[in-house]
Amino acid sequence: MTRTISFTLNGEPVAAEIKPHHNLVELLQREFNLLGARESCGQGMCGCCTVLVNGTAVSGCLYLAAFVDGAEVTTVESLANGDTLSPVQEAFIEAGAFQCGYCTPGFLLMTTQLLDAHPDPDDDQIRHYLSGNLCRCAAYPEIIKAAKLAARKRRDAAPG
Amino acid sequence: MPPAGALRGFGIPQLVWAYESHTDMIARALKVDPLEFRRKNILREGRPHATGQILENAKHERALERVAERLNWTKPFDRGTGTLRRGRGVAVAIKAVISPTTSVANVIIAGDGSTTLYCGTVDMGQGSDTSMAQMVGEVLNIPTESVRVVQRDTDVTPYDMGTLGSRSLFHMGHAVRLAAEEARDKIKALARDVGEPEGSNIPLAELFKKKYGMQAGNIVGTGIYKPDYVPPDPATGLTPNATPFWMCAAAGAEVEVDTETGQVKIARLINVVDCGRPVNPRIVETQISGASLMQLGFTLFEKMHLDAGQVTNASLADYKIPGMLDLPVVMENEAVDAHQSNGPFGAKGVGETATFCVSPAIANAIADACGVRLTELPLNAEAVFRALRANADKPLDEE
Repeated sequence: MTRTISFTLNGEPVAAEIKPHHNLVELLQREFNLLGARESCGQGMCGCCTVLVNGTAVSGCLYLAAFVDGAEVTTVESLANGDTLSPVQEAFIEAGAFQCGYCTPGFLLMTTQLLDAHPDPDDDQIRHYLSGNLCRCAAYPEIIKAAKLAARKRRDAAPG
Repeated sequence: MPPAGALRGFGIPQLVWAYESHTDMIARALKVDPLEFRRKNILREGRPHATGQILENAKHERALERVAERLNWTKPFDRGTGTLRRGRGVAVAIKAVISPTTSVANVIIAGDGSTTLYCGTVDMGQGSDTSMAQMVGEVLNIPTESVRVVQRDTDVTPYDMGTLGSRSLFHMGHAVRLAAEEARDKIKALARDVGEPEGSNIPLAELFKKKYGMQAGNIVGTGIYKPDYVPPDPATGLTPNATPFWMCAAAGAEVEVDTETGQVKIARLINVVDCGRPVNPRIVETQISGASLMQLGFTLFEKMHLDAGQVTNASLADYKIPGMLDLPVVMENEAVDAHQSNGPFGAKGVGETATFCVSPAIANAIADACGVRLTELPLNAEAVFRALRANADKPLDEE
């Protein structure tokens, strides 16, 4: 029992055939080969499956693919502009804010969303905002540094 | 059967949990300062270990002293007010690396002068690709970034015992160093062969062109490393050489115990290790920090619940691992000044080292704060609260 949905994916209009039980991660991985969002806990607890739907982060593992019909979907793959990385991505590299990298796409999206909402966050704000993303390698101290570094980079790049 | 397998620390955190907890219990029973008791009884370099091996290249004493300095151990300590009790504790430990094991590496220089490293060490985020490339670069005098490290593939990369037990930097590091040295010696021989002056730093691509008249040629360096080892005497269990290196760690914790709820806040967590000479200090920092925080989870909240052999809380909703909000208020990480005399470039492993001492340091701090001695992990609020009530002769009912 398939159904065709149409939506905007990283700025491009796309369509896909889905089954009612497919979640957003399955859709992105199988139909579009976008592997940044990955299922880890399957319960919405770890943040590895983070995807932006209509500008807001959701847990892709719990979000039915059917619900993105007509929506704007943004994945971690959209952060870079060709070979040019975003300030958040650059900051994560400079701060060494990852080890195995499994949780990193989720952290990149949440940090980007954090800085969009709070351009100059303090440690407490950063910790609370990112508390829904788990990292078993425990790169948390470096991630906090990366968030602050990214905030600086974005400020320095801002016009005026 | 409950799930089981190799986990960071490989049984040593469990062992140290026992011996560093009871060390504090003994010290307190004797009314001796826990740090002073350790100073008097610690196994020193030059003395025989229980295996019979004479302890060398082990700076755990230095690590313990650095923890004590960072904790301001000799300065007056704020013990808290009212229902909030503050305490501090230390722990020190060593771990042997599994022995004997073998690592093999190939360094191959292609006709265009590019250098590729083939080794079986799996980089899972601990930075081994970087450190191994650094070592090739160091020997061949080329930039680290120019060394290509191929994907692990048993069809392509030579034998390695395994990426485990903090063995890779030492064992594969030696193999990589030896492979690069063999490649370097072959380069020198080729240079002599084509009449290059001694010490000529001619680019490799040009050297090949001189020899073959075109972009051609290949240099292969192979390194195989297996450390010396003497199996234990079956009669005595002793051996003069059980392990090529010791991982050494010390930890210190300052805690605040809310005696009304049993909740423990880690105000400060100090992790000091001896990893010989850090090949990549930034990577070493992430391994000290990562290991310590992983162990913090096991210490404060992780517990597998089993019922008739089934894990009943196999879910991140029911099994809590450390998140962003669980970091100690202050965490300090340090690698002491050390040089591993038999290590590649003076280095040795560090992946597991900072796991050893976290649990007992915190339990010792909790005992210091409010007098409860917990002998089981995790040290969660319920465990602390139950112990406080038992101490006050008002025990809670059994679960």
